[in-house]
Amino acid sequence: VTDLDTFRRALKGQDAAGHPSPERDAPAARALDAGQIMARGRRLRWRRRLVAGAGSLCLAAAAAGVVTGLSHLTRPPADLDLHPATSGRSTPVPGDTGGPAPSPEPTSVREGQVIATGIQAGDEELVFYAVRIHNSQLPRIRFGIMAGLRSRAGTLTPAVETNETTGAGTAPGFHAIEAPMNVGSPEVAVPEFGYYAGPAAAITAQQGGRTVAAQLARWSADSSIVIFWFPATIQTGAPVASLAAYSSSGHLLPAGHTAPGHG
Amino acid sequence: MARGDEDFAEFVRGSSAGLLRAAYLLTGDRHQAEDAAQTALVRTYAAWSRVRREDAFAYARRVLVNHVTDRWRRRLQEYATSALPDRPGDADVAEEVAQRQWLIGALGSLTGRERAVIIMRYFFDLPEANVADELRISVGTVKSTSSRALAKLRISADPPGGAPAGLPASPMGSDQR
Repeated sequence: VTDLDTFRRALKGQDAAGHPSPERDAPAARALDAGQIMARGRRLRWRRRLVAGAGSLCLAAAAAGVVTGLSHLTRPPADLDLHPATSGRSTPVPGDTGGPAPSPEPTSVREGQVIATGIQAGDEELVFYAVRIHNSQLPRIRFGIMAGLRSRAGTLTPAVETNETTGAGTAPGFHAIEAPMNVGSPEVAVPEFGYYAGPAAAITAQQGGRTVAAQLARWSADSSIVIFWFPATIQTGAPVASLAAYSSSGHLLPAGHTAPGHG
Repeated sequence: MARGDEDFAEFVRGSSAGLLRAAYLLTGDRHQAEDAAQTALVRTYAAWSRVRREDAFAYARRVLVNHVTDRWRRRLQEYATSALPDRPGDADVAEEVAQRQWLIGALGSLTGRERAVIIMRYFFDLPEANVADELRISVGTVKSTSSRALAKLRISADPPGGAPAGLPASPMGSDQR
């Protein structure tokens, strides 16, 4: 193989005339199982609803209910109203209605305060908030984390939702880590995020040979849950590695599920 | 079956071969290729209602390549050539297997980015600008990476006849980025 055309044909498994060569051992000789793929896709759709250009969710993000951008672990003031937003049911994901009816999807009732990140996406700000989950298939999972955008008027648009899918959602350790991704149109870069169950005061990871720190915010509805995100992953688009959580005294905490999922 | 599912099933039938082939070239292993192609299609299905109105294959292709390169970044996977299929048979089959072994070995001499660029450019036949967009790198990086990769492979971009002969003597590299 010495010239580019020949190389192209070799890549494509074509003979000299450009016809497919019978590569009987190559994996391209058959179609994948669409039924199996759709079953996995439904589970994925259920677990992480990607809302691209979806209708907005109109939530009144009252100023008093917002945790400001954090560069370190913060606790919301005790006098803040921590009632879940009763109007916080998300709009359906428009496109998903064209597909099959997946198993019952969790409703996206916001629970607790909206967490501001200070990360701007056009005129909107990237925020995080917890949403309730009720699903018989996940009896030990009660909540997930939503990355969304908040307009200047306080309108929230859900973007990426993630939740634990194995075991208990509050078992000590990392949970529901979502790899960085671009969503929506125009695209918005959502950093790697997830939550930690336990007294994490600092969360770090490795990226490109250096240690990067996550931004943290304690969930207002359950102070044992720490929501985190890695702003550095917005630039790289690559997930971090070697996540570690530390207590306020510097002790390493249990790891849990540290592998990121991908939307 | 819902209309959306029928459309997706048809999409799977039409795109499986290309995605599997690309995944095989990217990973060098049949099993990893199947896993990667399935993952790409699963994610495509999860976003089907949106991407079906756009370019679904482009979406699946982008997911596939980024999925594989993400794994390289995290060093969870080496380019695999040990699982190359062996099959006895006649001369044509032997030649076919030899060519595939060379191809996989040659691709194994490239870094992950080089391999991704080569697959996007010469397997999917994407223009440099599209490769840059899908891999989130500059067009200049696509050009230089492609040129460097072809040089490593000793492949000339000149018309046939003017190309130097030669194959990589030791196609397996260690740099997976």
